[in-house]
Amino acid sequence: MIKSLFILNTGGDVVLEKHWQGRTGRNIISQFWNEFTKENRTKDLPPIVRIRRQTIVHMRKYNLLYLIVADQDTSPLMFIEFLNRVIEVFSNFFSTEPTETSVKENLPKAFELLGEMMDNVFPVTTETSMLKDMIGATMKSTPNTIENSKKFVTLSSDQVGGLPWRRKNINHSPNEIFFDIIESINATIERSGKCLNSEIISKINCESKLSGMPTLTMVFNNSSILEDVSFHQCINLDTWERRKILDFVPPDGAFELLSYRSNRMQTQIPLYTSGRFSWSKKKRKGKFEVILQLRNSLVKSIDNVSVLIPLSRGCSSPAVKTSNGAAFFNDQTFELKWEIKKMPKNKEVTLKGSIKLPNKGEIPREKPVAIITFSIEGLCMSGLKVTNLNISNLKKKIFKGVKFISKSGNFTLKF
Amino acid sequence: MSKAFQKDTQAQKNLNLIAKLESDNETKVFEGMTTLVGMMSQGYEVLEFFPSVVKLVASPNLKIKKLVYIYLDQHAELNPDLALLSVSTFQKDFQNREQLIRALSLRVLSSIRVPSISQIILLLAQQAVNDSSPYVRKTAALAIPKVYGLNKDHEENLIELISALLKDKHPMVIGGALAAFNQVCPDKFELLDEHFRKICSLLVDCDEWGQIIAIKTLLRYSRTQFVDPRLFDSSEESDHMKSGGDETNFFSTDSEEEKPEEAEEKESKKPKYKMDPDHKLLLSSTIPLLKSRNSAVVAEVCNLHFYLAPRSELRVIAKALIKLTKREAPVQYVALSTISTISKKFPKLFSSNYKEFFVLQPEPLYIKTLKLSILTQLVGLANVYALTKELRAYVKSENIQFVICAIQSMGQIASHMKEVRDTCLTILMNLISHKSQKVAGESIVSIKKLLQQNVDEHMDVMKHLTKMIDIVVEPSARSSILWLVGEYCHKIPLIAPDVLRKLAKTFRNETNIVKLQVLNLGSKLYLRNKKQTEKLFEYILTLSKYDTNYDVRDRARFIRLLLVNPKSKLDNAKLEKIFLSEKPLPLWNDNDETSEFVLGTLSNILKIRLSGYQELPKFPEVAPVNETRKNSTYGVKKKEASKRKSKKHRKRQKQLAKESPFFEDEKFWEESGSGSGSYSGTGSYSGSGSFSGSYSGSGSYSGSGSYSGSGSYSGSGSYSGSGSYSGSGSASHSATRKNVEKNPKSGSAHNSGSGSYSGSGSYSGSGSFSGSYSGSGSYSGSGSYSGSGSYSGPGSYSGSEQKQSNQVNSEKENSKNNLLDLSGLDMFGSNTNTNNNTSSQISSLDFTSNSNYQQNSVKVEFPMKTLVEKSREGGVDISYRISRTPSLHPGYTPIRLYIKNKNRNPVKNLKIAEPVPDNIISFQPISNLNPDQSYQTILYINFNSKTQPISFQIKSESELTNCRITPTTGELLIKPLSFDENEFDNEVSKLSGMSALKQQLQSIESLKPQEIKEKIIEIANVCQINSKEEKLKFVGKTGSSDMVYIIIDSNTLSIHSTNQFMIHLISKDIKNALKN
Repeated sequence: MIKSLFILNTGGDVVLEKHWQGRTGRNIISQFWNEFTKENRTKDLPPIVRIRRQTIVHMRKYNLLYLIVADQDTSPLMFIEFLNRVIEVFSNFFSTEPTETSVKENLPKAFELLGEMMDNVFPVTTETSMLKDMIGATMKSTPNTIENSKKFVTLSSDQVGGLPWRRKNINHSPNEIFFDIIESINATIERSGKCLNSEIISKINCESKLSGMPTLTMVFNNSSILEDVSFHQCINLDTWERRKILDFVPPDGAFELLSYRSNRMQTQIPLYTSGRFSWSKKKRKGKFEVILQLRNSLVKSIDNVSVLIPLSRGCSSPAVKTSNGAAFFNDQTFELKWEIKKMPKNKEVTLKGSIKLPNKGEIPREKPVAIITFSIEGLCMSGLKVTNLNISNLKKKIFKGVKFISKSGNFTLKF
Repeated sequence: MSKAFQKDTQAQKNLNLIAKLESDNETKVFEGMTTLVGMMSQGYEVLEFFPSVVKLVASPNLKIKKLVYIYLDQHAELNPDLALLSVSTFQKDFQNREQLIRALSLRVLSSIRVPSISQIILLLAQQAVNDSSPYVRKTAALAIPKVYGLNKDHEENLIELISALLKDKHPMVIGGALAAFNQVCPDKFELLDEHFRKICSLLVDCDEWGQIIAIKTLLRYSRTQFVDPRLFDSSEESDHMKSGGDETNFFSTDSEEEKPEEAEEKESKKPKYKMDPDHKLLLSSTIPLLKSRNSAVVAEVCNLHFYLAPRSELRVIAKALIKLTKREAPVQYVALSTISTISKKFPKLFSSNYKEFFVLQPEPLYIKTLKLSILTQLVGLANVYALTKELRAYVKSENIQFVICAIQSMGQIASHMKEVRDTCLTILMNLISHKSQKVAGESIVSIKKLLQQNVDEHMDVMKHLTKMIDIVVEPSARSSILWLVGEYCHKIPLIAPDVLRKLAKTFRNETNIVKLQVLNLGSKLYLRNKKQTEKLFEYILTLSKYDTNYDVRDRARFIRLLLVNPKSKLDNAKLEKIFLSEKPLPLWNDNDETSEFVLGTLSNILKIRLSGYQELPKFPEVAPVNETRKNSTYGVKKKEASKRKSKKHRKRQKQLAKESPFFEDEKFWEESGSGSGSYSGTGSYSGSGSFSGSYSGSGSYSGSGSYSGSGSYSGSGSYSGSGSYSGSGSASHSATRKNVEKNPKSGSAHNSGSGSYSGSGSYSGSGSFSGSYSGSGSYSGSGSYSGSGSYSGPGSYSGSEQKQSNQVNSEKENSKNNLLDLSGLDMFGSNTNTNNNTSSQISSLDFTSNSNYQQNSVKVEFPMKTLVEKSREGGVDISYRISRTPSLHPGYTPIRLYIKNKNRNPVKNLKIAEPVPDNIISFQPISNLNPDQSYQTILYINFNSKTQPISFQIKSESELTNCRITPTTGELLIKPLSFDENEFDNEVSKLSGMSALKQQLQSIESLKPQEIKEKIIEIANVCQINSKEEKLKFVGKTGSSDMVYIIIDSNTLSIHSTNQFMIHLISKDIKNALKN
């Protein structure tokens, strides 16, 4: 069970600590930090480790390191999801990402939130809307409100026991709701340009500014795409099971409505990729070439495509030639980055070059990979479309919008 | 000097802070508290402020109070004496009207870890369990383990509380109750028996953390209740699985191998296995949770299915787990370890998805190694070539640790799949010259193991290896080569002695394990080829004699005594047996300890047994007979269960969203329906699980249909809710029965309704009703409802009778089935029914729910009062009565309004005029009311425990009217849900002096106890307690949670309560009522 939570900055200093059951000394944190910063372990240290007969679950987000100290056995994922909720709630309350600065600015609020979110090692209230009702108003520290806060105006009794994700009496003007369908493609491409395996991991983000208690129904053209899906708790599972329609009362503000995974692709991968890489033992050199081309029929243009090639340590300044865009070599991280501001139509763009290996040492056995990132607006790779979005229980004029974004997830080219 | 200065400033700061805290100005105090909490969150020592802070606990300012609570929460145990000062404030706050304050005070008080207050917390928790707010009840549940932690003596009381909380029907409370159960009495499974079905059906509505706890608990519970479904997997099925997996697997472990015999054995004994319906229910009601966004919930469901579901139904969890591996690294890590454990037992589950486990370069090492171990388990004929190709790429990685893992995997795969053995050996041979000695060593170890399996085929590899002894440095690799040479020295007679010669030269510089292997090689050669090696061996033994390591010295002495010593009595044959015996084939280190720990625990991930780890109970060989569970009223049929659940879910959403009174009422009906345990419990409906299930499933609709007076089943559009014919049939049975039961007592009650159901005439009169009614044979037989002798008999509703009548009425059944279909479509439209229809529905609901609620008490007629007369409101008549249905808005009393338009024109847009007062929750505006149409709706008013009238205005498009509603004292009370006599007596004994009143009643002798009871219940919303004594005992609760206890003993009336005002009012009313 969760004993304590520590939030550390990038230097290993404690930004915030909260204890639910007695106090956990800080020496466990310094010991963890030693472990964590050991050579090569920052990335490779498993998220759950055992230190001083205590279990530590750690997670990194926005340059902060969250540590949970536990002494009893329970579901490991519960810790991880609790941390996720903490981060989610913090960003909603601070109205910015929880970074070192924003947490420090909001220390009492953060502390109070953590107190509400967990009761004796058991997570209780983790929904932003409910938490807002519970403490939102009490923490505004302007003197005027202090004097008038004898009455707990915002502690509405209806909230508890109602819809945990939505408060009553929400008012917005104008009323609007926007959906972003973001599809990320994970793919491994062979050097010939053949796709080894690919999948789409997608989510629908929603930004809702609606008054009252609106009920939304969303109909898709091809709901079978959403076979492997996870829903936000507001979605009525039953209607989905029976009619394959989303039926929900949305939370207020930004939230992730659902996420899905699909192996089937309606379209081709929008970017054709191929390349070569070879080590030459004699010259102690590596020669490489990367070719990108738009699959024209689908997309008009893609902006900001980038190709990143992490090279082995000790490599030195490559000679690079590009047909479009510019390529830079970072001699700290040994990464070569090629950026193309605007992909032209009907034309291949190429990157050619060579790198030098250090004079001593073995020739690496492994060839590097190229990691490609891109993002295309208005394209939906899985073919999912919203055919109908209906809002009932709200009489006002509503602006609604659905936007598609296709982007690269883990998109690698194997030479 | 500077340090001293710093200290000074710090001290100064602290003084300033104390001054702020003790200031009279609230703003300053608040500032001070904020600073203090900020300091706490950074780990500063703030104990010195304790005296100043503890004073503030009584502050009327809630913002300050909350901060003080936060402070006390963390520091009280360090200063228990001072902390005790604050306890009385907590107790006071616990009486607050705001549920959040009540919950907060209980939560903080219970977090104070001072053992001496455990009794106080216990008392508050006992009160909180009966609180009207589910949030407070949940907090009470979470306080239970804290009390338990402080003082184990309270265990019995706590278990009582837990079992009371388990009865709760609010999904929010169930999670907390189960969490307490897990910490206080995790093995008292009998507590769960009667709630099992309820928990299953509430699962979807629980919050995510409650779901996790519930699933964990249900898993352990089920392991003690049901038999292992996999014992009965027929061989056919598993064949099917095999073909589904489309390849043979080589890593399937024991369970797989012992299965055929087991199955045969079982088949002969118990040819057929039928899964317990509850077992099935649990499995089916957890499946929807796989769509949760909370990975912990998904993983728990997967674990549950892994341990409980039959083998053939596991595919669904495989998919869910794979999806989890696409999440962020920590989630992926846990999901992969789970998959790794599962695939050890059921490799076929994942084998078609092996590509999902291909390693990606940027992944952290812990993910890569887990993926490798899974891939190794999934290897089969279909994917072996692809896997080998992947592994060939992996061993080229820069990460040494990863390469080593890849080599081990390759070794394992090659040893099991002879198809790729040559390829793998080649790859491994190439790795011997790897720049990293560790990699080289690992590959040699793998090669060694592979060679052992079939050395004759691979002599070339063998010879190559012996040459490597000059190059390889890694001790484990060198010793492996030496072992191989020694083991197969007879197959390489020319090379082996030469190897020994080389090693003799370098012996002094070798590490210990290599030295031991040299001795080993030497002794083997000495036996096989004495001539060539005797001298060499002698030399090595001498060297060993003076070695620094005692293992080496020891071994040398041992060998010398056995082999070289001429006095040795052993002959050659025996020596050969000692040194050259046949070795068993090597085992690959399957680190099997993972399967020892239950999935979904930290222990399983860390492979260490942590404190708090709970072992999973073993399946019983024979399922225990569990009458309590079987007789519980929640549905059995899978379909029904899920339908009802979902319906409820939908309804809850809608109702909460819209605040529509219709739905609230329906909801209540449903709850009361499903909670009608008393019916089946009393045995009159003996043990018909299906009956009660279907009743609760569809009761609301069919009930409404039969009462609606519209007389036809098509009116009750949602008849199909139950989904099965017999189900719905029995549902209406129950509804009618209740009606019958009540008729004699409360005929007037529904007569006084809006007139939509005009006495019993409407029942018998409506031909369509009795016609469509399947069991109508028995009804028409009896002729009238009042002569219900046959219904009250306990066995008269047995299933067989139903069946019979079903057969008789098969024609009607058909027609009804059609109706079912039709009404299925109508389900969504049920909220769009016409006003007329819904209103009648409401009234009937109200009627039945009342009856249901007061199952063991008296049916009371609530007096109807006029709110608006027609002369004043454009022809609209409004009357009302205070409804005693439990309110969905805590603290608010539901008022049922009966509206009738007596005008010639339709009335439009009738609603409560704005601004709606704070203490009123309005009904939904009535958009249109035609002439002569009547309508019913519910209004909620918070009377605030006062008998003062509440005024408001009702507005239509044309008019505005003032209204006022005055409650009677008795209606200010709320009936507590459950109360037992001991508790009653206990509480009463505590209330004396000012809190008690004793009076003589006059002219009471003429009344029978039954009549007294009726009268009391008529004037006050109280609940009668079943008493063993002759006294009549009643209990009620005010809006501010003060309990009121009433006792009538022959002609003495005593009333006990903390609220003296209430005592006064109630006693007056009771006396008045009993006078007449």
